[in-house]
Amino acid sequence: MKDKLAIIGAEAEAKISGCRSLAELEALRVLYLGRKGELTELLKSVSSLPPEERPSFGAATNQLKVRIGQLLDARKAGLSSAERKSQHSQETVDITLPGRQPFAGHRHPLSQLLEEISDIFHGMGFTVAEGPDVDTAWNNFDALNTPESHPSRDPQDTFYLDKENSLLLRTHTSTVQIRTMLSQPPPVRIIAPGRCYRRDAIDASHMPVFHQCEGLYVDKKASLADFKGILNYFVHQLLGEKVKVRFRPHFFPFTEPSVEYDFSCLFCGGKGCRVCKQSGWLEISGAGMVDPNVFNNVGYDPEIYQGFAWGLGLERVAMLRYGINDIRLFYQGDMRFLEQF
Amino acid sequence: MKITYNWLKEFIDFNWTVKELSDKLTFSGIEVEAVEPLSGGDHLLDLEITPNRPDCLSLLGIARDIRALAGGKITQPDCTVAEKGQPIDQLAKLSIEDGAGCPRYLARVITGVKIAESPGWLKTKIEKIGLRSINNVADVTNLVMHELGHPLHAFDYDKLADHTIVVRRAKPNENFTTLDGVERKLTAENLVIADAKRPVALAGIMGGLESEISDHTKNVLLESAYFEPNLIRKGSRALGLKTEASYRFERGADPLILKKAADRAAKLIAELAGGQVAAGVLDVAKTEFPEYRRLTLRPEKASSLLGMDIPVQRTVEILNALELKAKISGEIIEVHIPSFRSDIEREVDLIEEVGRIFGYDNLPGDRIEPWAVPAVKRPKDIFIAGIAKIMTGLGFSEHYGLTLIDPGQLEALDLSPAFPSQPAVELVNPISSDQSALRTILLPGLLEAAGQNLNNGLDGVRLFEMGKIFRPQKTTPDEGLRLGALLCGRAAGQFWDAKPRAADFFDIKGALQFLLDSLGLAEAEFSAEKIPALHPGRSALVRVDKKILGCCGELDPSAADKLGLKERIYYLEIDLELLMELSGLKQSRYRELPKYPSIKRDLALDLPAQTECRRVAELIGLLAGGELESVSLFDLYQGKQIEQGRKSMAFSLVYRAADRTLTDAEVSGIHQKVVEGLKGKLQANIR
Ligand SMILES: [Zn+2]
Repeated sequence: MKDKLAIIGAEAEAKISGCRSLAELEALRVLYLGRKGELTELLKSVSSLPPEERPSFGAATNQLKVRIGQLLDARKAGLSSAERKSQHSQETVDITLPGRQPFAGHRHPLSQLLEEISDIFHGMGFTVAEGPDVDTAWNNFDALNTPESHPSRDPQDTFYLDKENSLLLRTHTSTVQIRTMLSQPPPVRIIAPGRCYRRDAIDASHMPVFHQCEGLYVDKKASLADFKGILNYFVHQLLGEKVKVRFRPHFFPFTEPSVEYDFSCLFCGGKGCRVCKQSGWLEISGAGMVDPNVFNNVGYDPEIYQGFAWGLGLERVAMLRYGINDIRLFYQGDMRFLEQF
Repeated sequence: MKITYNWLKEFIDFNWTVKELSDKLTFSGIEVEAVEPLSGGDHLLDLEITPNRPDCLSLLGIARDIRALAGGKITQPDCTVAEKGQPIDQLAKLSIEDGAGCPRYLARVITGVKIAESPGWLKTKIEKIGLRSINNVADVTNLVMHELGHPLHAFDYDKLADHTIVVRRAKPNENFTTLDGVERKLTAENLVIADAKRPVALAGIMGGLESEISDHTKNVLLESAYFEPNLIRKGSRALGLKTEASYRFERGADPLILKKAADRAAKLIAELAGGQVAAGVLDVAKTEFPEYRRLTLRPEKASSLLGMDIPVQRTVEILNALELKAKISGEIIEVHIPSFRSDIEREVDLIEEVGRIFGYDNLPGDRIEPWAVPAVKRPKDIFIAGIAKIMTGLGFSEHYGLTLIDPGQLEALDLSPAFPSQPAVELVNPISSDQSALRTILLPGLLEAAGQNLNNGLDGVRLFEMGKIFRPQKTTPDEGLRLGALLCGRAAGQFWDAKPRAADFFDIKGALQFLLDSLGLAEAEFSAEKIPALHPGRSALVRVDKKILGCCGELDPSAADKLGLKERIYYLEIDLELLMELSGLKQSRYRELPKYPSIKRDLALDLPAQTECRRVAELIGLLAGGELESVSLFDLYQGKQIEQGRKSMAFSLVYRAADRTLTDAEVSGIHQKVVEGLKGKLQANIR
């Protein structure tokens, strides 16, 4: 074995001194010192030696490695820089070949949308508030001035967890408005994102599980006009300056006055198309001034405080924004879908 | 509710086109859902009336809103009735036994009628709004209901035993056949109109087949009543029977319109079917109904709530046009609320009336309070966003699984001891059994998505979810936040000059280690553990600071078979709340950078196959003492080149002293000690 080392040493010395180009030199480096080079191979065979010879053989091999390294470096310095340049110019690769790219994961479109919405409202002084998915009928209905006979309470429409219908899966994130108002004095500026549940069979436009991002602003002077201003600012930030907002009077138990709000159609710019059924407008959600009964229920004095609340369906906005026509896609985990966002 | 443009014009003079009319109504609270052209230039309008506006379930009510919007005059329908017949109390008797269910009942009798087809004008009107013309009496009651909003019912007077009307609750198991020919079993929950013997109508919902107006009817008893809304709603729902009448009564009829409606109908019946209207009415009221209620409106409050100023004169004008009789009294406006507006109970309700008619288009749209300080993001949201960045960076896409799952699959998918999957909170009224419980782990949703993706022909899946799970407790379930991630199939890092590789255990473990390392938790401890849902030999429990953070491993192959998953599935689930808490506790501290050089030595060992890597590394550390800076595995071999039951592991050891340059001899001494120690303690051979 030691003889073999000597032979390799001599041969290497001759080849390095006779080397005429950097490429050749690099090939020699690989030949002797590379991962599969002669010296490495030699080291692997160390186990065939008697154990007592192994350390000295290892040391000798390492010494030769160092020596060949020195010879290579010296020769490299000796080759002219011009020659090196010309060598470099020939080291081309097809740069259109794909790079070593790890998989890229994609955030869910509803998460991306929620982050954008939160950022916009953070800028307007709104904080994010959360609450449990399972809540009491009181927080979900009674506190929100929903009459005992209201159809939304029906077990046909709402999932209950107990026979007394006192515990349920929240049907909106208004429960978070109630919880927030119960836990702190005014002023309140929150958005409340989260999962909601309605007893709908699954189809292209219904899911029993969906997301809302409601908002609430209570102070001494918060008015319906303020809501319009906030909504305008929000929609301009999220969907562009050209999108317009309008209110239609409506009725909800928890707000008075109540409105439904529409955005001008994102697809036709308001001229009328198939998506907006030629109206130029898209129905978005409901809103209104918090009903005094709701304030009474949470211990706020409606003679001193007033404010507005609004709903917003995340899926609805995402579907409009990205042109998605089937709500089920959000819940199927289809990577071909997710990778588009 | 359906109305026609021309019919509405009989009630109020306005100059709007159909398009203008539908816009104006829609933007003042009566949404026009559809407009359909009719013959003769007329148009059918389909209106959505919100549940608080039963007064608008009539042409007269809509005319009032139009008057408030556009001014103009309302033409009241002619209700003057000639009472040429004998006094009504000689003809019929009336009593109310359930005064709570029926606070007021009024009846008229018309004798000597001739039932026939309705005249053309009446037929046309009824048919245009989609109703079927029946006969001259039934059509009149329908006509008046649409004109005035009040449902009426006409009985064949001669079919009423003893010519008596009794308003009472049904007797238990009393049978009754409604107009639609369905025989119904009634309960004491049902309010009925009865004659001396038996029920003749379901109060406020539907009449009876036997007392229906027929071609042979000679005399008519006309009912105009007010029923308690909740009772009608419950009755209608219990019987599954919704009618135009029940729809109106359950929203709240006008108790003071009874006579007017009866007069209008009696007048028209006498005109169209001949006959004489009996003199007087039977009218029993169990409650006092005041003509109006008083409210006050502060214009200042209206302007504060709406954020726009509506001139006081205009406010008064709007209220009066809506028949909310208003007059200015100093700083406030006094308003009289008539009986047909039971929805208006508070000042804020009046503000809505004024606001919606004045128009929300007049609200300024550029008002934003200048808030000085933007809100601060919650640490939790920042943390979640950070985790999402790491996971997407690791090549996982985010999945939203359903919260509702099939509890039947949980037994096979138990992640104990990290996360027991059972019991789960179950719903009382699920839509279907496969969505009848709240998820206790994220695994089922990610498995379903993986299966879908593989069925779609993808050769690899990498998904993660961050979401809530629910643990049953005595009352409200405990809600926790988890991270789940799944991968299978083609491994990441493919390249055209490298062989494709299938994902394995170390891909999921590596992802988890990367995540933990990013959060300063690199020292997390992975220990082999039997986890029912996972492969018996390829599953690990993950602990940080002795706390169970979660688990990772290969999905138990028999569970994968049952789910029809053809790939080997690798999965991790961890407690996100605990992760956030632990990462928040980690405070980085600077260690001085090394001043003296290190010496590297490799160490190839031949060991019993079951020896754990961690045990070897720990032992090396122990044996080497303070001068060992790091030890890392760089090669593992098990196979033909080595004795059965043994494996070869190669470690790279870096030695360094903090205060001096180590000499070769010093390192060799330490290294030799390590080698000897391993030989004795692990039955290791040095290779
Ligand atoms: Zn459009």
